Amino acid sequence: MKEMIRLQKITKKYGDHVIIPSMDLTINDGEFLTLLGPSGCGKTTLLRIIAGLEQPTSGSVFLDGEDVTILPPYARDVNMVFQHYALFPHMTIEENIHFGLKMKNVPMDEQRERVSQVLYLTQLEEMRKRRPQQMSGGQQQRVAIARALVNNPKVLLLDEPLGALDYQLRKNLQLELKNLQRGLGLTFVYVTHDQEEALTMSDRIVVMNNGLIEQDDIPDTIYHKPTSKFVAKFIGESNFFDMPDGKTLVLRPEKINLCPEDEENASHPEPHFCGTVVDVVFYGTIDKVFVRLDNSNQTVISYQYFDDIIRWQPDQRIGIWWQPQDGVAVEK
Amino acid sequence: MRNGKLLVIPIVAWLSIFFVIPLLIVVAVSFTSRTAYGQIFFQLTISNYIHFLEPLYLSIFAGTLFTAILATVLTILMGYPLAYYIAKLPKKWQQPALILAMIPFWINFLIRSYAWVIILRSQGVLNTLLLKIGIIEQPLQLLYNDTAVMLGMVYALLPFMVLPIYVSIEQLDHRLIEAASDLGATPFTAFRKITLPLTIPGIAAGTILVFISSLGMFVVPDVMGGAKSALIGNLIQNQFLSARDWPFGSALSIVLAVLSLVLIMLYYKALSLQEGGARNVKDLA
Amino acid sequence: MSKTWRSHVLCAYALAILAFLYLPLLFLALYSFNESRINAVWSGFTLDWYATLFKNRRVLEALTNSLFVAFISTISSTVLGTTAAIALNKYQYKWKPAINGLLYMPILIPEIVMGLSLLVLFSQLQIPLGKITLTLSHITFCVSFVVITVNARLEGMRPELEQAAMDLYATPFKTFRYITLPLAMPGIVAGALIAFTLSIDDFIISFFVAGPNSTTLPLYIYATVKRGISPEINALSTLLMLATISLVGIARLIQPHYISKNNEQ
Repeated sequence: MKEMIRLQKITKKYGDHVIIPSMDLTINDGEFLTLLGPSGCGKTTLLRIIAGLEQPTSGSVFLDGEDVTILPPYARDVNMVFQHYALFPHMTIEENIHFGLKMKNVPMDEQRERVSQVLYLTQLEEMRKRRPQQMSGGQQQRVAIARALVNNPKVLLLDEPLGALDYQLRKNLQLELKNLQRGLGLTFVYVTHDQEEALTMSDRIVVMNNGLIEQDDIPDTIYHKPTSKFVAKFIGESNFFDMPDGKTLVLRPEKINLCPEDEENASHPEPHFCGTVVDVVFYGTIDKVFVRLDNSNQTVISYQYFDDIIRWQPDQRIGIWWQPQDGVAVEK
Repeated sequence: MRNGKLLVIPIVAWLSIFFVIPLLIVVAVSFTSRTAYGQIFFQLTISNYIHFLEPLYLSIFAGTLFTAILATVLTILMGYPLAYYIAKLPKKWQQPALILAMIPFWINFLIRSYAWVIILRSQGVLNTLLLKIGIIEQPLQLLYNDTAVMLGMVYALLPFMVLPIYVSIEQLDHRLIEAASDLGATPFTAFRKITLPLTIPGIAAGTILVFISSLGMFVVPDVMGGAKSALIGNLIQNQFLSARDWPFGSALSIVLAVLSLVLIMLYYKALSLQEGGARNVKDLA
Repeated sequence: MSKTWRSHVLCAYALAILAFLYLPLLFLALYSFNESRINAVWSGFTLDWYATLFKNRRVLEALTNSLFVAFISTISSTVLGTTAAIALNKYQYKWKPAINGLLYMPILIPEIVMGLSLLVLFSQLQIPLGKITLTLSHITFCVSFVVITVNARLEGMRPELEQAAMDLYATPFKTFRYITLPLAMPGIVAGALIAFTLSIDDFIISFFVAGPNSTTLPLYIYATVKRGISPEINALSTLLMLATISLVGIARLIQPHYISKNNEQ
């Protein structure tokens, strides 16, 4: 696989405040890479360093093999989709999309052709004469993407591009964006704090915390085999059990099975713990069952699907068990 | 544009030369004395400030303070209800109504004082009207007295009070009033306990503007006032243009400027203590 | 006490105060059309006073002076103020509180103090009072208003717009030319209009720094008013009021709504 971006020993400090202690990261050509983490973890700073909007305190940025660390943003072949779109309010949609090409002095004929191509691609042809403030959030989002794509950048940087939209629209645009990226084979670096979004769209996820990489892997592994307690906590829900060897065992709620306390001749392993059902909450496709363990006062969450015949009731005595391969041991 | 940061230098230089240095010269002049021909004579002295403490000048100073306080109180009494009324209008009427209230602010004091001269002079609109309907037989002397000056001051300064109060009422969270009435407060109690305290910053901003402008006022008394209604502004004007006692005039204006700036600083201090309040003076622009 | 009753009282009070604000100005304008020179009795409509006004050489001279001073001080203070506002908005300054203080002081200090301090400066430097001293002084009191007006526009502008332009291959100069300047333009024009209005309308500071041959319209009005009333002055004041009101009106109208920060989806 060809390497597109390489970050080498990147650090970023504002005065005494360290945002990124040290970061090495390689992003491959055509990859949809997501930087995922809570706000303040340094993911947006990293994106802005790639764009050239911020200078790293030390370290180097390579773009397609070339060292671009000291290049200003306007000399880099990457384009950004900003969090609030940052469309130019005094220009029409068409003028917005033309802007990058005009600044690069692309011949007018080619400009027109590329703009109409990208308008077609983003289904914005009928709105070319409108102004950004006359459009809905979803449409503005499309313009922001069109305005970046028209320049044929080597990498498209997206900073929480769907953050300001409502849930349903976000779901639809997630799929659209993913299809667009696949169709064009373009490298996307996507910043979000929404774990669901990251899992749905990415080829690869880099989970960040306090400016450090917690885990860097494909979505499936990130979800099923978290390598740290932070990742397990940040992505999805998890149950944690302290183990004798000092490590922590992580179990996803859907891997926790329940059985009546006094069950006999069961075909599954012996229950690991016994406890009492505290609460059962209806979530549509699942019930979330909260169980208070006898020995430790810990509350365990289990997802129960409706086809599981039994619906548990509060105050019921219960045993919990899991398959050994479903547990993941991480450092405390 | 690496040197873009230096772009503030022209304005800083300009204001230093034409604002700060002149003020410093005035401070310096206030400590000099003058020759018999009105020229400045460089000799360090505080006699000008002592001069100011003579009963004649102190009484003018006290009169100015009294005028300023009265003008402030009257503009609050007139300005608050107007601002309140505008802030409670339907949204689309608020902006036009506010502009209507603010237009006189842009017309200078001179023209606005002159407008009152037309109404109040002995052959003016009011006297003519009163004579015609037979209430009086001789024209009344309505101009050139303290009352006329007060009228002119209130008239000139009212817009200064309306705008900041309007801003503070408009920013007020209307749900607080609803909550108060929900808790059993009568409209008057709700106004007294919620609206009024929360709009104090607006009143304070208006007070500062009106008070400071009254302190330095000389146009209104000059046009509408008599010989005895001189304020400190007229006294200063006189020292510079008729009496040619610049050192004394400088001392007076330093007193005026220091007083104004101290008031403004107190206001900002109070504002920063009272978190989130009316916006400041710059809204007038 | 019913709610409508109370709101009627408030409404009546507010209208009375508005009447108080406007009636004198209306009378001023009205009597510029009255035939009688002295009396307040309406003796018939005439435009004679406007006609004599435009034949009065001294009025025309004052008008020329006013416009000359206003044009030069508007242009200079707009350039000075705009560059400063842009720089202050874009860069961090260690001395920012001091710079802000310097910018606000001319607005906050009593005008009479500013006027006489300029008079003292010019006399110390032995610069004869005239159009030059007048213009220098007008620039000084206009410039802060320009900074504030332009700054209000710039503060409402998202910094991402400039970053987006840089990301789209615009050099800093092109970013300024195509993004910052057009977006700030309504603020700059509003600032210029305010400067022009302040300059054309100024009396107090001009009173101190004008010379015998640089009488402006407000100074001419003052000199005439001190000698008693005259319908020409009514006419002149009316025209000056109209000019002021229209300039402020235009400045208000061009305030754009689209660059506001709280305008997003």
